[in-house]
Amino acid sequence: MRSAFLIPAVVVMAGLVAGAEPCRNLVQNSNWSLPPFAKLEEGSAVVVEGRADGAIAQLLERPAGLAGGQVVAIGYARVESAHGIEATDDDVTPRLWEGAVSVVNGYMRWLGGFENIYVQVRFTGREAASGAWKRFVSPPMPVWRARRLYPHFAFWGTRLAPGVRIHLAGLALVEPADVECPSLPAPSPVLASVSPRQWNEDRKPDGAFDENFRIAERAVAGDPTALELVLAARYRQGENGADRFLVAVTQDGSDPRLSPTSQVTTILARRDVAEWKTAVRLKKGAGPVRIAAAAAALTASGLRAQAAVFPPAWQRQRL
Amino acid sequence: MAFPGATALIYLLLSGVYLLYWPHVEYFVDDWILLQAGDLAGAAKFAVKAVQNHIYEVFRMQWLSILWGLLVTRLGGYSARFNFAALLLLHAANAWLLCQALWRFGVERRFAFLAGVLFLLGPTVHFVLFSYLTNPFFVFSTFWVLLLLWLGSGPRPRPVWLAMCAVAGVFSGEQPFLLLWLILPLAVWGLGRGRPWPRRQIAAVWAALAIALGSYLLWVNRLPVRQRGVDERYRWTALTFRNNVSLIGEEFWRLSGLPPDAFYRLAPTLTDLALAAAAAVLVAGAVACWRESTPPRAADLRLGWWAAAGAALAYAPTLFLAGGYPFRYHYAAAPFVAAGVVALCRRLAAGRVALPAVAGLVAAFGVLNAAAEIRQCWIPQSGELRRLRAELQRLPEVVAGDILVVSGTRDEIGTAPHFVLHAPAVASSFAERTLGVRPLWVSVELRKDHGGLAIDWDWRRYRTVTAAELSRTHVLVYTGDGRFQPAGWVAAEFEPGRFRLLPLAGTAPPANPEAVYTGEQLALVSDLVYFPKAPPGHE
Repeated sequence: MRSAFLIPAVVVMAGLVAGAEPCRNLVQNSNWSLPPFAKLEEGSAVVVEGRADGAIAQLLERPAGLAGGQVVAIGYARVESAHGIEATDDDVTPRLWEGAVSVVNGYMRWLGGFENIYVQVRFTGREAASGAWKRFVSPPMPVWRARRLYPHFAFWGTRLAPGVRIHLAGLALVEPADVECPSLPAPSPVLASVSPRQWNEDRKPDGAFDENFRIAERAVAGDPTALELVLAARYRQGENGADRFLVAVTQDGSDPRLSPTSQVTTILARRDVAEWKTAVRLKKGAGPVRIAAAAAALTASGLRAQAAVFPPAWQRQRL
Repeated sequence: MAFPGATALIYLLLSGVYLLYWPHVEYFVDDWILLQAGDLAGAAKFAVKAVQNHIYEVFRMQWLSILWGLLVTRLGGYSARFNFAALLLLHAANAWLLCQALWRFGVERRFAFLAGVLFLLGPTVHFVLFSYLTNPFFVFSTFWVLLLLWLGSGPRPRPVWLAMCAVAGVFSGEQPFLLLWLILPLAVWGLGRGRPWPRRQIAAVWAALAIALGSYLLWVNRLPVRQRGVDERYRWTALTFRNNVSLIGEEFWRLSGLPPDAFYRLAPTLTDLALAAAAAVLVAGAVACWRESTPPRAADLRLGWWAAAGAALAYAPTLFLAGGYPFRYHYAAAPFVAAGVVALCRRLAAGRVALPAVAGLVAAFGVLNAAAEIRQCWIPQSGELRRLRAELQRLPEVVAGDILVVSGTRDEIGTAPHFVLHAPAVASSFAERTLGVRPLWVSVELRKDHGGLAIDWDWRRYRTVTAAELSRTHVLVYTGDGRFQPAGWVAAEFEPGRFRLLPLAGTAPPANPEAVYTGEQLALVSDLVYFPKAPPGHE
């Protein structure tokens, strides 16, 4: 009976020195339980349209030896609309569907009942219009009371608007330390997203542009007075990521950061892709042209940008 | 060395782990209000307000603790470290008194000593050591254990001393702990079985409490007790009870530093490991030395029941507190929890080897836990305060009546709340003391308010900021990496997505005040522009 005190103490001490296990995805196969409203497409993605109420799920036995005792669910989604979506930063989810779609990190308890934590699938106009995949990561959840794990995409009273289809892929269940593991299944291309910590603490990006700024001019078909500048750059993400790049242009020599005549373009960043480019349309013969670029991230209290740079290669006295 | 002297020495040595916080000690939240009391006349005025319950306009009874705070703070020359040292000694004294009281009631020396160790190093007592330095919510525990010690002593003290001790104790703690005084007869009955019932002493204590409380409520207190002491703070519902029980259980677990969602993680440095090893050897050695051949005089069950009853009485009233469970309330129950664990040890691990081993592990764990909490919660939070102070001192030309907005700081780091922000009156006192200018208005955000702007003020109110005041408003935005960035302009949204820039203190007006900007464009100068927040509940 006295050993009842000693054994837990030894276990606790052993736990303190235990090392971390290598990265692993607890969802190891594609045995999806597909509801009638979902269809399998190429590349193991799933597409849903119309009315949907239920789950695209996996039910897993809880594996032994979860080092941290917590798991995180990851999933990807993209939408397409037959009616087009305006590229703004407004949340357009209510226009895409009624009800809710979520990436759910759930489990069945040993003593009965169900626990879950989830992240809702939502899109800004810009994200939806991009046609790229968006990554959703649930908050971590302790699973020491779990009998079986139940990660899933949930459709709660969902009815997609006519012409809207949602594509889902890459559901994974990992320990928090493995969230960024490169071997996890993922579709492509995926939009860059900020971490919950960066979001909550309003941290601006801390990566850097390398000096590889490129510019090219091209004519605009049907408009001889206009000219397009194709701007390209490369950005190395830092610990706090950038989910977009802002390019501000003036054609009257004023500072594009605070000029009322500034024309600002937003380019969404892609996950694991350093290169980005955009085209801005200007008046032919205008000048001097000043162009600033900055990496930015949408956080809890709004858009936060790094200090803007003025690449010498992009500045023009006259077009 | 005799048992009392030896235990006192060991407790003082074990308390040394808390000195890891010594270089970082800073005043905390309400302390800044007390520090504003000023000279002797000001302090006297403050003391009268405290006794009458006019500081917070909430009915509380611990005015004696506040007077203690005033006295110690003045004696120490407004040194936070002096206050901290006084608290630490008081806590060590409480642990020693508990140990001696249990021993006098017949608990074996090694178990009485272990109870003191558990109380001294228990994770639930840390908060009161590092937080309110000038308002020690646990002074009442000193009187309580002192009374227990006296009742357990052979020659009983005169009833008048007991009565004075009880009255001092009642006015040193908050009203939820009134019920604890019921434990007095229970202590004699439960722990001192076979002893003569101290009728005169207990009657004197209760009579003194009744007279003192009645007099205080009738002639001194100036606040309506029910409205300001009960209705505002308590919700007598099953839901509140269940939530608080669950919260307390969760806090116990998270304070261990072991679960994934712990407030801090055990991550010992070499120094911590050395301290833990020393504590383990010291405690295990002492427990092994104080093994007695005589059988226990007080039965395990009696000690267990007494501990359970005390913990229940300490926790019961707080289970109906609305709006969460403050960490500091754990302190009142901590001696009973320690006694309960000791009762279990007597039952399960009283062997020649097992008990010293368990005691050593407990002491080592307590030291590692305290070190982790200090390093991961309190030192970082103290650092944030110091950086904020330095940043305020760098602000140019702050004059009386100015508004300071400090946005984006973290509410808490683990168990440590921000030392000054998130309570406007406190933040103002801090800023006034730091800058030597008063009055100042301090808030954590500028908020949109019916087309205008407002700051959070007091716990329930907003204060409108007029256009003229905006040029006397200084805004600092926390950048998340420990720095503060002063903002030059406020972005006023006059249509969705369309902004005008309004200059803050120290910034020249823009060349074209009517110029319109988009949110994306202003993001390019987001270091210089502050975006007001939505009112709470509208984010």
